[in-house]
Amino acid sequence: MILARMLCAASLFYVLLLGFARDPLPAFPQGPQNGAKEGQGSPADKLTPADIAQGKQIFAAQCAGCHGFDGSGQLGPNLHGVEARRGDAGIFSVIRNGTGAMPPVMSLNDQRVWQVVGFVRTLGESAPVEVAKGDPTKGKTVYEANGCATCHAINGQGGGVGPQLNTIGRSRSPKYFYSFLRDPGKNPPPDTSLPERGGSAGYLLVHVVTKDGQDVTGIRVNEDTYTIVLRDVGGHFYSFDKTELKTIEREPGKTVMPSYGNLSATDMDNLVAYLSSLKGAQ
Amino acid sequence: MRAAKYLVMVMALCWALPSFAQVPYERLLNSDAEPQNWLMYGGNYGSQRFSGLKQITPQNAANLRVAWVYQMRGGGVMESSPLIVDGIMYVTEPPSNVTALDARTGKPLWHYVPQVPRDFVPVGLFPTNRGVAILGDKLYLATIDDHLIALDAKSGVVRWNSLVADKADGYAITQAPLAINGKIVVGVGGGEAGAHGFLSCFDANTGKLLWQTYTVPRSASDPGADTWADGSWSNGGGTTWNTGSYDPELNLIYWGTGNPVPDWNGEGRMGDNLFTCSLIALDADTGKMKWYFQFSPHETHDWDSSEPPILFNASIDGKPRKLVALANRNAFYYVLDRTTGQFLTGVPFAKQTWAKGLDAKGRPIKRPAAEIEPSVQGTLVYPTLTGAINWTSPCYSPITGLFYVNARDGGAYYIKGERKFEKGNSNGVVGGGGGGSRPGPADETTTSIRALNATTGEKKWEYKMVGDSWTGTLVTAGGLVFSADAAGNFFALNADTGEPLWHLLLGSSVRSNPVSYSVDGKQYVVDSAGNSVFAFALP
Repeated sequence: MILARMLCAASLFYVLLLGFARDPLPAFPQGPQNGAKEGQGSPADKLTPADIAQGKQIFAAQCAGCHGFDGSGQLGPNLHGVEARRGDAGIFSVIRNGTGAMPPVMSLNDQRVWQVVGFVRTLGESAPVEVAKGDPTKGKTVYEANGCATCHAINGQGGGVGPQLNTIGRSRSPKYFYSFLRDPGKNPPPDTSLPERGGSAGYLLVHVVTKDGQDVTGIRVNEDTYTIVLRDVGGHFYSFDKTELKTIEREPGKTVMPSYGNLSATDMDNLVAYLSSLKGAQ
Repeated sequence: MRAAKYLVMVMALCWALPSFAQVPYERLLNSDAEPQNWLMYGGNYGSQRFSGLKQITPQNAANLRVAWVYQMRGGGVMESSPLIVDGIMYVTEPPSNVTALDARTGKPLWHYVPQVPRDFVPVGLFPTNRGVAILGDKLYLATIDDHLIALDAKSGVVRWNSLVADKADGYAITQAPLAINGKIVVGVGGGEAGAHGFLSCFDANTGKLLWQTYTVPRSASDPGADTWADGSWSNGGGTTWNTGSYDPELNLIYWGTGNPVPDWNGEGRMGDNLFTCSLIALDADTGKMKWYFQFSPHETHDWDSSEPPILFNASIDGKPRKLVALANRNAFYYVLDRTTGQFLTGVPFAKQTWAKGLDAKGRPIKRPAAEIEPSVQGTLVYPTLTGAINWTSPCYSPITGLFYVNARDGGAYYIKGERKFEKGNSNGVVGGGGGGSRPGPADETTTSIRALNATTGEKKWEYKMVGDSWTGTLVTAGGLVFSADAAGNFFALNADTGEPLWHLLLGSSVRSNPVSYSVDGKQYVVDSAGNSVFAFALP
C-alpha cells in the first residue's frame, strides 16, 4: 500500500515536473457525420427565393466569419456539399445546437434557421467545389518525406502533437491548405479546448522560464489565472503554477508547426491534393 | 429523568432543522440588520451586494474549504443568485425551477418545476433563471415563459400564477423579481425579438396587476415617440431584463433598459430612441416615471443599460447626496443623483473606442460613424458585444467606499444587420451567446476585478484574470471581495488592496453572483459552477 502510494507520488512528480506523453486529442472540430438526406417534409423544401436570399444575408452576417462568404471554409469547415453529408435536419441541428468550436445559435427563431439551411443547400450549386490540381498519390509521398507524421496522425498512424487529419479534406479547402502550409501561424484553427476563450486562436505558442531557470516553449494546452499547461513539440506536457515562473511570453502568430513554403510548386500542389483527399470513410 | 433526556434530544433535533420564518416588508427594509441572511437578489434594496459578515477575513481566507455541494437536477446554464432566509436557501435552476435547501448541508427540502413548454426557444438569451424574491410567507418566481408565480415558501405549493407577458411577442424572463411593500415588481427580456419593454407591478397577495409602465412608446402621442423616426418605436426594445433597485425613502424604483430594435442597424430608427439604454426611476405606487437618464442614445452595438444600479450615499463637494452608480455595458461608469437623475460623473472603467468622452450632461461624444457603426464587413469597436460588463452584478462596500466590478476589456467586429425588422425574430445577425459581431483580433478578451472610488470612478486597484469571466462580485465587512475567473477559479481578494488571498478551481465556469450568509454562527460564501452550488466556510 505504501509502495503504491510512493509510486503514485513518483508518477505525479514525473507528470508535473518532467512532462509525459499523452494520447492524441482531436484538435479540430469533429468532422461531419454521415446523415441521411431529409426527404419529403423538410421545411427547407418549402422555402421561397426570398427566404433563401434572407438566409444568405444571415449567413453573410453570422457564418461567413468562419465559413467564408461563399461557404468554402476558412476557420470553419467547407460547407459545399454539406447537405449530402448531414441532411437538412442535420444542418439545422448543428446551427441550433452547435458542434465542436461552433457555438449554438440561440437567437434565431426556427424560420430563420431554416432560411440559413436553405442558403447552405444552394452552396454546392452556386459555386463549384474547389478541386485540388495536384496528384494525391504523389502528395502522400511528399507528406511522408517531410515528416508530417511526426506530429499528425492519419488513420491511426502518426503522432499526436498536431490535429488528426483523417477527414481534414472535408473541412478545409485547397485554398486554406496553400495559405496555411506557407504560414501556419497566420491563420490557426480556433481554440476548441477552452470554450470560455470564445473562439480565440488556438495553438498559441508560449515560452516560459521558471524561477529556477527551466526554459520551456510549447503550445498552450490550458491556462487560467493561476496555472498554465504547455505541450512541447515532443508531445510532453508541462504544468506550471504561475508563482513558479519568472517570465511568460505569448507569441501569437507563431506555432510549433514549421512553414512548408519552401516546397516546390509541384510538391505543394501534390501535398494539397493529398490533404484534400482525406475525407475518411465515405 | 429519562423522559426529560428524550425531550431535550427531540427539541435539539427540532431546533437543528431549518425553520421557515415570515419575511414581512420590515425585514426587507432593514435587511442590513440581519447579515446572516440574504433576503433579496441584490442583498439589499440598494443592490450593494455587501455582506455585513466578518468571520472570514484576509487573515484566515486561505483556510476556506468546501462545506457542501448541491448538484442541480437538470441541464443548462446555472446563473442563480440564491436567497438565504433563516437557514433555508432558495436557489433556481434552468430554465425556471426552484429548489429549497438546508443552508447548512445543501440537502434539498423541496423542488418546484413549473410547466414550461418544451419547444419554447427564447430569442437572444439562454433559458435560465437568476433567482427568486421573498415577501411574507411566499416566494416569487418569474418563469422563462413569462409567468409570475407565488410559491408557499414552506412547501413550494403554488399560491397564484399571473401572466406577465405573451411569449408569442418575443418576451422571456430570466430575472429575479423585486419585492417591496405588498408589491412584486418584474421586468421582461426579449429585445432581440422586438419585445416592447415594460415594468409590471403585481399585488403580492393576489397576483393582480397594479400598474404597468412601458419603456418605449406604443403610439405617436406617447412620451419619447418623437425620438424614433418614422414611427420606428413600433419595433420595440427597451426591455427590462435585469433586476433593479429601490429607495424606500424616495419610494422610487430604479431599473435599467435594453437596446432599441433592430440592434445593429439604426438607419431605420434615427433619433435617440427613448427610453432605451437608460436608467429609469419610477414611482413605486403608480409606475409613473419620475426621471430618466439615457446612457447610450441611438445605440447600435447591443450595449443594453440593464446593469444593476447600485444606490449609496456620499458627500460631493461637501454636501451629502443620495446617489446611484451604474457600470455600463458601454464601458463607462456613471454616478447620478438618484433624487433628480442629474448626471454627476462618468469615466471609462474598461477599454472603449466608441466615444471621445461624455459632455457636461453625461451624453456621449461619439467618434465618427465610419469608425464605430456596424458595417457589412465588420467594424472593430471596443468593448465587445457582450460589453464591458453584462448582467453580472458589481458590489459596493460602505466600509471602503469602493465599487467593485468585473470589467471586460476586448473588442469585436460589429456587423450591420437588416434595416427592416420583423417581430419575433432576431435581426439576422445574432450568433451563439450574442451576435452582430465576430471576435476581435487574436488578442484575447480579458477580465479584471477593478475597485473604483464610488463617487469619482477613479481606479484604486485591479486584479487581472486570464480569460473571459462571467462572474459577479461580493464584498464583505470582513474585508474580502469574492469572484471567479473564466476557468472557474473561485477566489478571495483583499478588499482594500486587491491582493489575492485564496482560490479553488471548481472545474467549470462560474456564471453567477456570489453571496454570503451564516447559520449557527458559521459564515458561508456560496456560488455556482457548472451544474453545482458550492458553499465555502472555514474549517
